[in-house]
Amino acid sequence: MRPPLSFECIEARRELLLESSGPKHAALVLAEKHAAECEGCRRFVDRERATAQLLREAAEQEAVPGPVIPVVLFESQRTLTRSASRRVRAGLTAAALLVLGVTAFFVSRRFSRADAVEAMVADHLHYRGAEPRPAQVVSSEPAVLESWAARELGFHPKVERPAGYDLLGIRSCTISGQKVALVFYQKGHCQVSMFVGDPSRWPALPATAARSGVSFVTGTYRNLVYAAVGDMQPEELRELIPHATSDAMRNGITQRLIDSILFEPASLSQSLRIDWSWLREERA
Amino acid sequence: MPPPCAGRCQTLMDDRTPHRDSKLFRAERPVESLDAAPREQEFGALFQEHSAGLLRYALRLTRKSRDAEDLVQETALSAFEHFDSVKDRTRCRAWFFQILTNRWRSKQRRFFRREFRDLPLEDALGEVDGTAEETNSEDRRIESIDHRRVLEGLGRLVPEMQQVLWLADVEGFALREIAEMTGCALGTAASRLARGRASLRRVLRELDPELFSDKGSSR
Repeated sequence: MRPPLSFECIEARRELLLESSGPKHAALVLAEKHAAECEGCRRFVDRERATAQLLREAAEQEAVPGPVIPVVLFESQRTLTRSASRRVRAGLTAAALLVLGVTAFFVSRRFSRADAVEAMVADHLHYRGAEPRPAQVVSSEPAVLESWAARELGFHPKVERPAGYDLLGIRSCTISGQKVALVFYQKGHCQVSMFVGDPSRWPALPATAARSGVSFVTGTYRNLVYAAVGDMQPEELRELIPHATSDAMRNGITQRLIDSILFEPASLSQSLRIDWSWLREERA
Repeated sequence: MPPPCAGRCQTLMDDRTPHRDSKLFRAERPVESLDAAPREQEFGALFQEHSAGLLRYALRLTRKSRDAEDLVQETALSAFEHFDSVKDRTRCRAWFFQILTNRWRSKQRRFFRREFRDLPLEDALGEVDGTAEETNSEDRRIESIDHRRVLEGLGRLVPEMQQVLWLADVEGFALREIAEMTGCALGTAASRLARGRASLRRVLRELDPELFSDKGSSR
């Protein structure tokens, strides 16, 4: 059986381990002196250093995926890159932007609903398959994306994550003169762009449309318009619109039930598609 | 009468951010009272400087690049929200790592509870087996192991050990900082480090038994 470590060895090893990366003090100097004279402690320290070195070198050689640029960096980088010379030109740019803004305002007022659909489809097609994805926040957590949108855009979209879809991220964009949230999804090789905006500032959109080979589906949930664009069937796209289908179905059934009970009891079975023929046969 | 920042302090005391008694954290004034642009600028520069290290650490903890990205994003948002609470900006690196560690820990807690039994530090300061020649020979063999195998070996350790090993040996944090980041006592952090290194060596020997056999010594 191996004899227990001496008190000096334990103290020296503890000191060397605890303060290996800190400033030198008397206890550490004593510990180093002990380690220089004690073979067991010297080997202990050498081994610790060798293992640390091995791990450090392994980590340095490991390939790291592309950098994550959080939204806060996205904003701050823009500020950082603004040099002094750019500031001189800022006035001119501001004037140009003002002219553009005024023009955009008048143009946006003339936008028809077809233009909005075209704009969303064009945006989807333009960024489809783009790498890296043009998301300002990359996250698969709906709560992260929702809180970002609430902070940046002033409204709180509901971000769904149905089974089979990968939630990729979110960014803001302008459609028909309105700043909207754009949520990115992926299902297999198909990408989906989900635009979420304020219906009061958006012209009425068609429930379903097809443009340039992609489907376009809209729905309203809690006073927000959700428009999904993707290379898949409209039924599949509709899964991404929060509770649109279930709400509509539920509301429809409820209304028909009320109508049936109050006004026309005979139509109740028809509404619910209940087959009462077995009862009639039994009675007969 | 509660202080004006009572609500905010309560928010900051959850598991997403360092504890308010932490040396890295001082709750002083509400975020809203500050000018946004220079704050973003300063935060952006600081976070970007450390984002690669944070992502690498997050990748080590989560093992999935998407989860790691999420973790770094959440860390950035949380840190940005409480950026004004940090008095000593030179210690932001440790603070970022602390937030990331806390967030990961709280996520882990949501999914499973597992008790990790720490041993006293003295038990981790044991003798090195074998003679000096044998030790040197083994060290040389270990040094020749491929880096992927080393990281694979690290991945086989319990998360608490991985965390301390990574923060100490790769990121170069002092054990006092690691203890604060991971919310454990200094002795516990030291014990995890020493035991973690010993476990890593043992796992590497198991992963590549040929290298450590007499036949492998000629390589």
